[in-house]
Amino acid sequence: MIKILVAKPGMDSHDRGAVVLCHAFRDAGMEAIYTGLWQTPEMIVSAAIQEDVDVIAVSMMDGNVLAIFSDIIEGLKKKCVTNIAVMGGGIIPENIRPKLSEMGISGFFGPGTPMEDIVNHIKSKVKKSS
Amino acid sequence: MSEVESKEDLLIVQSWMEKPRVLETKCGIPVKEYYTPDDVNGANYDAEIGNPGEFPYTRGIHPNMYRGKIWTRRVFCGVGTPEYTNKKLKYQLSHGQSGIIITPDIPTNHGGVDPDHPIARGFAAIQGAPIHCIQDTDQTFADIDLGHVSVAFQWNNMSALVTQACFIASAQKRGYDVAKLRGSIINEPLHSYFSNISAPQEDIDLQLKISTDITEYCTRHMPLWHPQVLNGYDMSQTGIVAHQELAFTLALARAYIGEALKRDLDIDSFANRIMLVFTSDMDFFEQVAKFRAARRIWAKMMRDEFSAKDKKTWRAFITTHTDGSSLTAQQPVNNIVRITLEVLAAALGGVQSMDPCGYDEGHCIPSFESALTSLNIQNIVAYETGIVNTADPLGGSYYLEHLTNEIEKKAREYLQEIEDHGGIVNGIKTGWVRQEVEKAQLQREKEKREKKRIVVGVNELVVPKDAEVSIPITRDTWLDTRAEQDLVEIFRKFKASRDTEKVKEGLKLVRRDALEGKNLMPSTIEAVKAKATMSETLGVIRQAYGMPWDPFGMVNAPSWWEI
Repeated sequence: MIKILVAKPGMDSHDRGAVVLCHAFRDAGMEAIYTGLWQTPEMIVSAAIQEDVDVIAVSMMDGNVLAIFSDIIEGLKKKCVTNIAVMGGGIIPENIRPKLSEMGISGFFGPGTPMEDIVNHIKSKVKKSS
Repeated sequence: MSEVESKEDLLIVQSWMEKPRVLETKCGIPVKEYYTPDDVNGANYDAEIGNPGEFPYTRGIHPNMYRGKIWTRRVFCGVGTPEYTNKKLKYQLSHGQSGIIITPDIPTNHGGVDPDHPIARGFAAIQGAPIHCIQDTDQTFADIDLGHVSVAFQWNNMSALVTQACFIASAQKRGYDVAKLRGSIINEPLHSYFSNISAPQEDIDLQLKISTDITEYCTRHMPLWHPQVLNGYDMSQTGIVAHQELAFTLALARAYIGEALKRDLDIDSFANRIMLVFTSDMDFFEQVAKFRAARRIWAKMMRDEFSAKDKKTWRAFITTHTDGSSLTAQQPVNNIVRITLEVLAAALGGVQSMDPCGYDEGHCIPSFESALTSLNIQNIVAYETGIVNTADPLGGSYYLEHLTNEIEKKAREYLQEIEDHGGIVNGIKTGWVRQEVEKAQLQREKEKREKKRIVVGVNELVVPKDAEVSIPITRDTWLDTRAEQDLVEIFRKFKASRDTEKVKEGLKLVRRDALEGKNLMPSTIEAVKAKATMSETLGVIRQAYGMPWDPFGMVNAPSWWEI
């Protein structure tokens, strides 16, 4: 079963999307864990390692997307984790997407994205029977 | 009968025969085919409507309305470093903006923490102005004449205490008489429990106490300042509808006014300075009716419930931010049309000031381009349409008067429901308010999904991104890459340059007053003059009230601050 950590970093309190995502993942036969609000990148990384997830799905409606993702990627590197895919959704500015892609982050699902697109994307990134 | 052959033909037939899908307003008032005098039957003009400038002020708070003064035109500002905000403010003021409105960045507003706090990482300087110390207000307002512009601070929570103290201290340093400063501060922490935006360990009763401190201080020392803006707007953005927005706002009024009265303030000394902020959304007539109903209920509440004698207290002073949640990330050019209609509804509703969203809502905070557009939407409505030439031009419309009555009725019923749950503070503590918000959220999502409400470009008439009409969406790269780092460096330099002993002396005053239960504004002003920061000042207050220094439980008091 694919295991996903749905993460809300920092001070972004817009959590409607994150909650809806958790439901959609469970409906698609995946296991979804929600971090809750007010999580620093370090807290997200350690939760992901403890829970042994396949994916960190980061939902960001505001904040410095580049800074948060850089910290998460750095945190994973420090712990020598290579088997967790990091994805982003919410408001991910166009101008920083190339940089994020270089860092290995995928997704960039904006408002109104059909849930099945997100589920299919995860399935394509995580080769595991769900 | 012609045969429909292709999908395109079918679409053409459908749009030719198209009818409205929902025959009720957004808050559920059924709409009839047409309205006649019978629908406003029994309405006593003098008692229920009245001339503009007369009780119950349904038609406006002044007899001449915009002939006397066009509404104050503002556009949200504040991002990056204080110097950057200052540059943007000057740009807007030089393009016909008649007042300043500053929105705080998230660490300031939601947490009341400094930009170097670990939870602030990635959020400082991004979507609002960081104001944490006296240097920030010095720089934000540099070269701006505070004697001739009103400043609206969108600060909700305990952070309002420190920011307003910084503003006062900066102004005094520049020689301004505090009694002559014009502006407002939201200073309304309760509504933030609707949308999760208060720091997790922030205490509701302490927030209420500090909010009342600000109101009391301003009432006694800043007669031209609006010490509180009851925030229907932010609540509306959670998905609640017009009559709920109205009822919750009035429930807030009861809570805050009740607290202020306990301080022996006369109702007529402060309630006339409390403002109301509402959304203006896309349900055009319902919104116009809402503004009119709001004035009528407020007037009756102040006169009959709180025994206010001064006519100024009976008049609801309303400001409007247009509806962010009605705007779409898709086809942002369409948002200009939406904002225009929302501005028009607010103007026809007779509001005193406006600060519309930018068309780039959903992508970033307003850029220079979108801020200028939002300013000019207001200027065009004000200068080119002629609607400012008479008060309440839609007054007397059978439909509008009927809607105004219905919204008042629904709001009163809902206000009773809130009271039945023990009032708003209790409703927040028990979780009932949260349940109501969640119900509304799900309802709005369902309406969109089932296309009961059409949003062009989102659930109907969707076009691929490359077929969108292009319009500049400008995110300053500096904001996405360096702004936060720059801000933290400036802030650390400021802290390093201080005389720690002096800071301690200032903070000790705050601690003394907090322990004695005194009004915290005077000592906070002294503390920020001694260069104390927001995290430090609020930390000292929290500790004095037996709470942890840090509302996120992540950092301790600085080593030089002995407990």
